Amino acid sequence: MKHITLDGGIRTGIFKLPPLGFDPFKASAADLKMYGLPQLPTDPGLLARYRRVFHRPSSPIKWIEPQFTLARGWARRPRPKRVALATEEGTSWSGGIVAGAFRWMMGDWIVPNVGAVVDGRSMCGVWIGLDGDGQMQDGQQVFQAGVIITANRSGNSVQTSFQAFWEWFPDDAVIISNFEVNPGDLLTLVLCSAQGTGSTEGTAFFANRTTGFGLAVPMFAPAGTALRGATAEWIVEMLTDPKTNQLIALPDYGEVFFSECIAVSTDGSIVGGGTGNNYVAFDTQGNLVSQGQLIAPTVVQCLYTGDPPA
Amino acid sequence: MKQITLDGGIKVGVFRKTPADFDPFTASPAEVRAYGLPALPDHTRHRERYRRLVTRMLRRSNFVEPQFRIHPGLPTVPAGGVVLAGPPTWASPNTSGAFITAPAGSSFRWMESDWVVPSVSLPAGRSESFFATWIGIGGGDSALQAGFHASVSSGQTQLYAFWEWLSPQTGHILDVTNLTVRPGDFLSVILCTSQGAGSTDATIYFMNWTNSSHTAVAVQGPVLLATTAQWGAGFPFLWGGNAGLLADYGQVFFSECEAVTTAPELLNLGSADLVNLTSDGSANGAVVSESRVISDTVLQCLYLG
Repeated sequence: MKHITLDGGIRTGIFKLPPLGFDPFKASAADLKMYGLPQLPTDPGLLARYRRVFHRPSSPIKWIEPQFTLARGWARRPRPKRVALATEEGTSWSGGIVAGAFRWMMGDWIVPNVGAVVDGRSMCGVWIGLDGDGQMQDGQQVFQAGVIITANRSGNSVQTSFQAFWEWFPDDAVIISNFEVNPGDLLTLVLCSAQGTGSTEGTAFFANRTTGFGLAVPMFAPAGTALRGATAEWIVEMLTDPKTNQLIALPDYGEVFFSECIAVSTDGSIVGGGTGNNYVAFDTQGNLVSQGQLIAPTVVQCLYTGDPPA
Repeated sequence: MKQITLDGGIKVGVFRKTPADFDPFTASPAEVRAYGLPALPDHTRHRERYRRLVTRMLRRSNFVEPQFRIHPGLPTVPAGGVVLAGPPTWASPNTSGAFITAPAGSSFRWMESDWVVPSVSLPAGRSESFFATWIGIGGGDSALQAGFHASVSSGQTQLYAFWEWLSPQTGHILDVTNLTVRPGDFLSVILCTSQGAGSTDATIYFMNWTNSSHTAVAVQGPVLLATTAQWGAGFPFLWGGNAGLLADYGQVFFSECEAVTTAPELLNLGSADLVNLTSDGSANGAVVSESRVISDTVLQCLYLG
C-alpha cells in the first residue's frame, strides 16, 4: 500500500489493484490484504453475500485506484443526544442504529434522485458508519462512508451532484473524485476495522453494482482517537454549513431502503441493522423531515417527510 | 374528460387539470369523478392514505396532460402465459414479485404502491435488455398493469410510464411519452377500477414525487375478474419472457403495497404468494429475479442474473 497524507493531515493510501477477474476465493489471506479486500468470512450467510458482491465471474468488479479531494462547504456531525429508547429524535440523523461491540458492517442501497425544495443549496448524506451516537459513547469519532447528494436550485433550474465520500470524524470528509455515482445505482458499502474496539485503522469498500466499478480506501483514525465500535448505523443525514453552523436544507430524497444491514461483532456474532433503534430528524422549525423506520431485521427505510419541491 | 382514440381504436380518456384548491373531501362524488380523482375511500386507513397522496398531488405537484404512443417493436400478442411451479413460491419466465388473492365473494377495486426507479445496465454479453416495474389487477385471462419500463441499448436507456390491458384476444403496451422519469426518482402508481370484478373501465395515476409531476389516464379494456393484485418486476406480459434479456436492475423495493377489495377490505402482502423469474420459467431454472416479502407492505425484488 502506498501511503498518502491529504491536507489537514488526513492519512489514507492506495492499495495495489487486483487483476481483472481476481478470484478472492482462490487468493491467500496475504493477497487479500495486499489488495485491501476483506478477508473471507466464516459465517455461511456472510460468505454467500461476499460471493455475490466480490466474486462475479460473468461481470467481475472493475477495481479502480481512488482519487481524493477534501470536502468543502459542508460538514457532518455526530449525534448530539439520544432522547428515547426506541425512537431517537434529533436534527440531523435519520435511519437505524444498533449497539454492541462491532468490528465491521455493511449495507446496500439505491442512490435516490432528489428534488430541490428550496432555492439555493440543499444537501443530504446517505451513509453507513460505526460509532457517533453522543449518548452511547463520548469519543465523538465516527468511522463512515457513503454518498453526498447536493441540489442547487435557481428558479426552475436544478443542478444535482452525487459524490462518494469517506470520513473518520472529526477529520474532514474526503470525496472520491473518480468514483462515478448516479441516481438509481445500486451501491454496496462494507466498512472493516482492524479489530473493533481500539482500532486506529480500517478499510472502506465501495462497489457500484450498476456500473460494475469498485474500490477500497484505507482509513486511519484521527490523532488521539480510536474506534469504539459501540454502534453501527445506517443513516440519511442533514448536513451543516461550517461557516454558519446552521443546518443545510434537506432535499426531497423520496425514500431510501438500506438492505443487507449487517454489523459483525468482535466475537463473530451478527446483528441486523433493523433490530435496534430508529432515528427521526426534525428541521429547525420542529417539522419532521426525515423518518427512519425499522422494516425488517436487515432492512431500514428512510423516508422524506418534509415539504415537497414547490 | 377528453376522449382520444389511438391507432387500432384504443380509447383513452384525458382529464382536465384539477384546481389546486379543489378539496375532494368536500366536493360531490360527481365533481370528484369529473376531475378523474379516485372516489373517496370508505376504509379508514385507505382514506388516510388517500388524503396524503391526493392532497400532495393536487397542492404540490404539476399536472401533465398525457401524450401517448403504442409501444413499438415488441410482440403484440400475449406471451404463452406464466409457467407456475408453486405455491408457495412460483416460477415464471417473465415476472417476479408478489400477488394476493381477494377473499371469495369480493374482488379488487383499487391498489397502489411506491418505489424508486433503479438504474439498469446490460447483462454481460448483451447488446439490449429490458426491465419493467408495475402493479396490476387481474385474474383469469385478463389483467390491467401499469408502471414504468426501461429499454437499454447502445448505452442509452429509455424510460416510460406504461400500461397494458390485455386478454388473449387483445392487448397493447401504451406508453405515456411526456411524463419525465429518471433513475432514482420516487414514484407512486394507483390503479382504480370502476367496480372491481366486471370492470371495463379504470383510471391510472402516475406520480413522480421527485420532479413533482403527475398524470392520470382513463382506460378501457376487456372485463376484469379482479381476483388478484400484483406487484411485479420483470417483463410486461406483452413483452413475452426471455430471462437473458432482463436488464440488471440491482434491486427494487415496493412500499405501501396495499389493495382494497369491494368489501371494502384493505389487504397487504401478509397473505402474498411470491413469484421468481427463472432462466427457463420453471422451478428448476436458475433464479434471475428474486422476490422477498420484507414486511406486510414492503416487497423487495432483486436481480440475481
